[in-house]
Amino acid sequence: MLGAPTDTSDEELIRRSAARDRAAFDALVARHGGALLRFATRSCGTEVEAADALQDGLLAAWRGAGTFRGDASARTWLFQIVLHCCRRRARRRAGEPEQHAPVEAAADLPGADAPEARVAALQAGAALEQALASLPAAAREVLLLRDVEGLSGAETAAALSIDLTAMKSRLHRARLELKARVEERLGRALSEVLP
Amino acid sequence: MTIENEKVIAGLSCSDVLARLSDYVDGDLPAEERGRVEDHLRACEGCARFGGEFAATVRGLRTHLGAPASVSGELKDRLRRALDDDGAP
Repeated sequence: MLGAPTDTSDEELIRRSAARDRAAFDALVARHGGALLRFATRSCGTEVEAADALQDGLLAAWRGAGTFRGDASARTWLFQIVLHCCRRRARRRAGEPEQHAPVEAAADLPGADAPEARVAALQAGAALEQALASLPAAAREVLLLRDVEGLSGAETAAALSIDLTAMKSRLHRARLELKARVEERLGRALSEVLP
Repeated sequence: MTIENEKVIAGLSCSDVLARLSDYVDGDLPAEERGRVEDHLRACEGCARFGGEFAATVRGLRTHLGAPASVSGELKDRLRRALDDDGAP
């Protein structure tokens, strides 16, 4: 089995994975696993569901590496697969009580002796996290891919399997709604918390 | 969103600017249009305030929620076992 040097492109790693090179696939997971898990956690709402969705997604990517056509980047392809697994798990648990429990604890973290800037950052992060979790799935997904994970507009559209114009429209509405919900939670503008 | 006291500045109404805010913060507007949005923002206090908060929210997502993430050793082991056990060709 060939090794997978860190400068090997994602696309090459997938090509090697398609030839059943586990080291190559492990290198791909090492490179993107953290971001995929972070995305899955916020998309699924719980760490348990996220771990399951990540496992489903990585198994699907390993099995389907030979089907990667390179139309989108490898990173986009991986996000697309994990997103699909998150949605499938959401459909399975449809009807169950809402499980989203976004770092509520973060709001309680700032202690009286915590430095002011740290408290402000925690408050802002908690408000953003809670507001994001409260959004409908479609809005949450586009914000996670574009603004949290930093995919380009084209990559985000590809991951969501929609065209760029539709993605931009969805993103803009989602950002406006998020802004309103953050301010509702904070009782003031975000910039007043984070000067 | 309802805009009170809508103004037209640099050929753009406040609603026009609001509709372009995402493309503006993403750097996706053509130079000429970007210039008109900036002219409007400089002259319209309401849009400047709203646009600033909008941009702060977008930045905040990356700054506060985009921290480096890692897969725990336990989950790595579980994923490794799942892949090892996978019998797909």
